[in-house]
Amino acid sequence: MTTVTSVQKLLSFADRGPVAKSYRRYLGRASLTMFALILVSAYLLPLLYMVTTAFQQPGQASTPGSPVYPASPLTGIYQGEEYPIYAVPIDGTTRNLMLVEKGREVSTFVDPADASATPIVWQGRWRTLVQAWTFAPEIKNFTTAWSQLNFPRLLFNTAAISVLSTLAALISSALVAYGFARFRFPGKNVLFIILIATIILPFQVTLLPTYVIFTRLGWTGTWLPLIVPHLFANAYNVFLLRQYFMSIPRDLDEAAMIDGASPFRILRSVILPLSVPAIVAVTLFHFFFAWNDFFIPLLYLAAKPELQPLSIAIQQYNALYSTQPTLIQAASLMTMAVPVVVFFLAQRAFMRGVVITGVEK
Amino acid sequence: MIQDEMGPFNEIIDTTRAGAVRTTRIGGPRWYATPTGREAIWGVVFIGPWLIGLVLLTAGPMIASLILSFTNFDLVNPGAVRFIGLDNYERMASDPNVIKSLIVTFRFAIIAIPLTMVASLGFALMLNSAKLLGRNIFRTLVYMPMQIPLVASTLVWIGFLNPETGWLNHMLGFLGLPGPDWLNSEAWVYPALSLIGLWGIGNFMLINLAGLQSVPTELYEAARIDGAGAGTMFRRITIPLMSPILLYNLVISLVVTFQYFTQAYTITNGRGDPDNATLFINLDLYREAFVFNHMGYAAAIAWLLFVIVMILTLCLFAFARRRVYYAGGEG
Amino acid sequence: MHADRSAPKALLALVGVVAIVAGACGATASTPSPSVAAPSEAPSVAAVTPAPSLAAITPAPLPPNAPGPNGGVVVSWFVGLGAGAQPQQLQAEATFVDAFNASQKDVYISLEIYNNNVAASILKTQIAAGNAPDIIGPVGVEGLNLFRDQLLDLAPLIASTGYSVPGVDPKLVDFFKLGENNATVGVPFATYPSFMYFNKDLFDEAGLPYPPTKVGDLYQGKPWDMDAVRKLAMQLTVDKNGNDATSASFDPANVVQWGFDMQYADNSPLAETALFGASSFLASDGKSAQIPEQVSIGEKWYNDGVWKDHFIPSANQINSDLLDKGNEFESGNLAMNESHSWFTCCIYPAAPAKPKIKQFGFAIAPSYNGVITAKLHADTFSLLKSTKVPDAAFKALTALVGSSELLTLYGAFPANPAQQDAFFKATEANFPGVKLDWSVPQAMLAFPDVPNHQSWVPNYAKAKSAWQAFQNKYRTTAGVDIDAELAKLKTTLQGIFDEVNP
Repeated sequence: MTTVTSVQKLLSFADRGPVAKSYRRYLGRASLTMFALILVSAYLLPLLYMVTTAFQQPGQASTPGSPVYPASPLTGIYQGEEYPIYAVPIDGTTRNLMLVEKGREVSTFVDPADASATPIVWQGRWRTLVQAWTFAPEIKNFTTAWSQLNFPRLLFNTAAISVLSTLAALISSALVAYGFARFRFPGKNVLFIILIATIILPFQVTLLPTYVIFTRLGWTGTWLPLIVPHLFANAYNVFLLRQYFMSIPRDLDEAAMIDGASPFRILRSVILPLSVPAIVAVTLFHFFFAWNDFFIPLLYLAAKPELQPLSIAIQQYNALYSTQPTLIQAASLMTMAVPVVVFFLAQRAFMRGVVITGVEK
Repeated sequence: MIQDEMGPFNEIIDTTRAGAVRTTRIGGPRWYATPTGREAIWGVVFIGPWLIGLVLLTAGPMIASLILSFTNFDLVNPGAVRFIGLDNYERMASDPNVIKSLIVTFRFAIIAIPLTMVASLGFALMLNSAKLLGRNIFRTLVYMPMQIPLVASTLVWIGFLNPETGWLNHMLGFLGLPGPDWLNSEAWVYPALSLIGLWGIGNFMLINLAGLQSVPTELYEAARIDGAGAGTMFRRITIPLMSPILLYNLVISLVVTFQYFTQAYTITNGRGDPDNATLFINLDLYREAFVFNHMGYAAAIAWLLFVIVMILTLCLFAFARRRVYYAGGEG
Repeated sequence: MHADRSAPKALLALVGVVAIVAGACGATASTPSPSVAAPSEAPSVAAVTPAPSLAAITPAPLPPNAPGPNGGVVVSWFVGLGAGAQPQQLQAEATFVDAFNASQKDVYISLEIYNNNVAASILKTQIAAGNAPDIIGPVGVEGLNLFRDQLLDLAPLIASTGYSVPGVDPKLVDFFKLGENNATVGVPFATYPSFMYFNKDLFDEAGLPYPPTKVGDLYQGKPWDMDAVRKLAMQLTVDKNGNDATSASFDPANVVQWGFDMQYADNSPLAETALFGASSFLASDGKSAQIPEQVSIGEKWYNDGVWKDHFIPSANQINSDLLDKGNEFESGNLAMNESHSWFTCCIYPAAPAKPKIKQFGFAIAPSYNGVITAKLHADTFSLLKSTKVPDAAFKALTALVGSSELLTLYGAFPANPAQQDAFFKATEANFPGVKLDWSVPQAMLAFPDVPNHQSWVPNYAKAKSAWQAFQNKYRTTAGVDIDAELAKLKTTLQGIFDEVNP
């Protein structure tokens, strides 16, 4: 609620008053952008946590007092072994020394600059000392996940499954939505309610019968169960497109009709061009859904690792007793790369600000 | 007063009132005012793909689950299945878990649905404003949480909300506020799940963004000339013209909230901890089906859920008949 | 399209109609139609992409009775109920299967690997759909409980093939009589004795002697028992200022190192309290729920350890960064961990990470009232009753059980003593510079928990959920009245048992 009203206030503030209009406009832009920056930063803090984890050395976070950013401890070499460096207060000054032997009340330090000097025995608790860290993003998390999971192969599978199922969903949903939005036929309202009903029943109870059908068809071990159902449209997409199509005034259909256009042609050259934002929205979220879907692909593709998408592979790092957060997050970031770029590019659809809907007057 | 400000747009506003839409629809000429039989055939042709899918893939499993709800079907002992009439439904009436889970689900829905609607519209308005610099980047950023694989986002939230080392409580501590035990206290688990739910509004935001594109800017300009304020324009132009999209978001958020499962499952140990405070109805039926193997009983719970959501959805549609404005008529 | 006799009758009847229509669908869907554009998509993609994608959209799986690529009977092997789904393991399992399939022409193993989170749900779906795999495993006692009435009795196959594992204690063969009517549902494969893992670095820092490695040895002149563990663990629990938990200035809100836990005990009170003696929630009449004294005493010990003495981490602390979000011992901030031999999996993080522990060792499980109880895990492979090819599946099963590569892969202590030395060497290769005392796990095999902490109870899955919720409650909440909660648990469990024992 606060968001809406604040935005509205900003909008009205920026637009009112004839004096110093350009100044006000500038101020309006700056303050809205600033507001958005703060809001979005807060919203994305967990994402920053994710990115940080992906670049951390596994185990950095479990060191008490470690910094939040990806870092590795500063170390020195003493007798062929690596030791961490701490800031040690000695005789009124603070020296950076390697901690070579830990003790509860007495510890032994060595000067990293002069490892041959006599070790310094320091009275005090090493846990109260400040450890030295250096910023060090761990790229190996990404390279390890890339090679261990056979990323290129899986990326191809994921893209292929997503593109095919998105095409199927998009084409079928547009046709069905057009049917519901523009034509009168007996039982239409009931059919529409049935359409909605198909998504109201939780999938947990239709999973088993659906699985029976696909196994009887011999489709396990193929991509068919992931693609074919989308040929028949789904209620989420159809409902959305129908709502959007119904917002388009009929005058345009009529004009095309008078020119002798068939319903297919009207869909293609009148309805769809005016519905680009909704079509893009449906495309995007179906694509992203298919990209990250995990359970259904696993159910049907477990015996065919060479056909699996990335979502299944990432789960390997979440195996029983061996969760590897750094690798999960690194692999997830790489998995997200394509969807994020796709989204960024697809936004042109929302950038036009207006669609000429030909509202009368 | 506001009416006067709006000047020439009275007509559009009026169409949002009861009756006006109907008038438009009946009054306007239809390009296919040709024989209705032909129109009906075209309609059926277009919805054909869905009808085929319904018959082949969707209706069967739905009916099967309904029939299963009258049996004692056990997942790992399928051979012993037999019909038990209405036993599952009778059992449900006295099952404390089902009752508890209904309360939990309704309580969550009351928080989650308005939150989703408002936050997604607010974000969409902000991200649609021409005054926002770097809109492309902001939109991409706000949508990004939707693209994170589930296994990753679950870990992110568990880590982020951890009372010992999580960022959120560290920041609260920095501000001098006490950090709650987000996921283990009955009082805080709802705010925590709502917070996590906010991360899932990307699709609703995107749909709103698409809806905002359908509002012609000429309307705003003309209203502005008439001296309408931003608030007025929002209420009188944006909301009515976006009403079909808002209806969609409302229905879908109702459906997905009552099916709320994945986060509840992954974040609350798959049991609805603490003390069943997060035993959502869908989690309860999942546990009955796949943990305790009572698929028949789970199917009965699923159909109870189905009836509840169906009734609520029909109410929404009935409500919408008067409130939602379709520029193309109601077909 | 023919009805499968092993499939659930009702479901099949329901879906039969749909399936028949679906048969027609094959034709319908591929008929070029103006409204459905996607089928034409498929061939074009297949043309530009290499072979696997062609396979991906070609519905040509092996019909159940067709021979596999090597000409043998197809046997499907389901991995995921326990170990086996980590990236390194997948490779090794696939290599084993490839080698086995190439080595003979009678049996063809088809490997299916599922993530542990969803493996049980998927297996249940497959069983209910009449599409169950032939072999499941590696799977422990608990996993077998969950599928108890679907497991094939191996005794006839063992008898008819004369199968035996040389050198294995016959008691261990009997251990797997876990099925209905004492059916033998597995053959000895892997055992996982439990003992105390300890972080030598932390003992050195505190200047404390290491715990005993021989049964009967004292620790600092006193018996190595639960009380000694408590005192020692408190000395090994440290706050950020370096105070240990025995100190008056110890700050329980800022602990950075803990003394003891039983990591990965699956929220099971019976597992946690096995150190106090083996017990069961099911009374000897096979019907009544009970709270054994060991559980009551033990859980109070743990509860005090978390909230009063602070040497055991709470649930939030376990999930925090300080304890590596659950892998407490690996973080280097837990001094002692009572766990099984499979825990060698999880002491070092997977590459490319560097280990956080320099030196660690094995010690004897502590005693309670003079008795040592070192709970035992055992893994096996099982056949499902629904298998249509029991002979071929049993042949594949014996190959799996006989593979020393798989044993090492799963960190499994070989049931066959002749294989143990090779296992020790292979395991130690993962820990360069660390010398491990294998006499500890060997000694602990003599003190198994009988009854096993995972023993079957009626309505197992539901009962488990109830006792896990109890354990989670005291680990997340300070000030829980253990006696009151256990009394509630008893009532709940009785209700759960009664559901299936009218």
